[in-house]
Amino acid sequence: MEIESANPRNHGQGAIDRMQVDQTELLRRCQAGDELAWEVLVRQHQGRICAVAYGYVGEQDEALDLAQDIFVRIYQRLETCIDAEKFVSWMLRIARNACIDHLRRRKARPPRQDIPADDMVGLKHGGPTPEDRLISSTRQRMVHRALQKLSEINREIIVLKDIQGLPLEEISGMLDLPLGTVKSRSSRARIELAKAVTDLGGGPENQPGAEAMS
Amino acid sequence: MTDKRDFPNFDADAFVGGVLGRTTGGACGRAAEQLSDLMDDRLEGMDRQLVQAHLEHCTDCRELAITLGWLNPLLPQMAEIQPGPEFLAGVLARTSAAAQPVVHSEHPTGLAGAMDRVGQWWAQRIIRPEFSLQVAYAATVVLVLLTSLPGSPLRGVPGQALEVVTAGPQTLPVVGPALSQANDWLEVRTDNTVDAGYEQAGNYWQKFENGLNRRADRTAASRNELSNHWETLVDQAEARDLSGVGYEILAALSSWGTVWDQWWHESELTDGP
Repeated sequence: MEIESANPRNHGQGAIDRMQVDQTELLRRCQAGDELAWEVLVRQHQGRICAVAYGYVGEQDEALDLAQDIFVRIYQRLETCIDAEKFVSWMLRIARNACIDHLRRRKARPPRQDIPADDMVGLKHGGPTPEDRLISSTRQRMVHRALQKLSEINREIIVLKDIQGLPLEEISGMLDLPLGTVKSRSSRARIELAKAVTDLGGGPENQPGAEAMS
Repeated sequence: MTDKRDFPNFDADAFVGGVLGRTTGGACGRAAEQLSDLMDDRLEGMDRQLVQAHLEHCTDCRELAITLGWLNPLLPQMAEIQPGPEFLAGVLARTSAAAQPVVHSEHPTGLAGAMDRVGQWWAQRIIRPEFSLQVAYAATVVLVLLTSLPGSPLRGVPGQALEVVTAGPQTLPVVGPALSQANDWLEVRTDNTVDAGYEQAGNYWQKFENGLNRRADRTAASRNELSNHWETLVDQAEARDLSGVGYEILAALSSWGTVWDQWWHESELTDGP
């Protein structure tokens, strides 16, 4: 199976963009302990894993730590992935489980005295913050903030279905919910997200240059 | 039929809202359920027309639909977030140095294996800034406790160290005896604690075992009776004697009740640990 690198924005991924890598062979080499193959695999999927982690935890440093943990888990379980064509969904399943474990541990910890996100605007100085570098688009930042206001299950469905594009059948298996339930929840989750965006003052009317519904 | 031009102040939306309020209730909930399908172009026929008709008259739902239309192309664009080159370096460091795939690694077993795993766990975490801070915090707490609690071995050491620093080399003889004294104190405490722990655990176990034996003796007869009833019950069942089986079940239950009462009547077991 040949898959082109998914995202042209990837750092240092130019060579991977220009070539097509046989994913089956890549996976086999990773399983055999080939460091170069593993590096290419991480480069190919780091954007996706970071996005999943950020979607779940909503905080940059935490998401990057978590994304590293996810890759370590993936590496330790590489041998259990026997079908390269299903590698992405296998990987997302591991990522999802790691995020859920992380959120459970976070709930068990006492809450940190964080500065509210809105107050941090006043603390900005000069150059871009790490958050700015991570999420370049104002619209995407708005949606991420709205995502954190959703219920856990709705947030999961948005991350897995609407952002990562997994088919409903796969999400149903991953969340251990009937297909019909996932379908109806998916519609409701998007409505909830749209309402959260509106409540935060976002949406097409407040984003100059953004396209409105035709 | 009366035309609405006959009522110059007629507000059609308010009128329909009033009727719905007195009959089915507002239709916004139903429209919201179908908005996602409409935006995904999965709504057809009459359903599509009905939702579109609702949107023409309902400002809230129309705004919701517009926001959904704004979100639709945006969400897939969020599938990847690039973390920067240091992220890849971190992953490679953690996977190449510490976390070999399970199938390729041959962990030693026993104490050596446990130490190996602790070492790997430490190596994976210590490179994370958050973990390093947590370790530093815990170490500070331990140090403060050791140097400030009454009776602790290192109490007074910081003060003496400060004296050494401020007063110069002539105070060095103070430090040696203080550390030696602290070491002696720690050794005595450790020995005492270990000895006392062994003795207490032995006492608890003896108490528990005695209680268990007393209960076994006390219930021996009724347990024997229960066993007899059970054997008879099996014989009756093999002989397909249903009335005999019924009788033996009742008798066995009664014997079981006796065993239960005798077992839990006293509190030997609860005297244990």
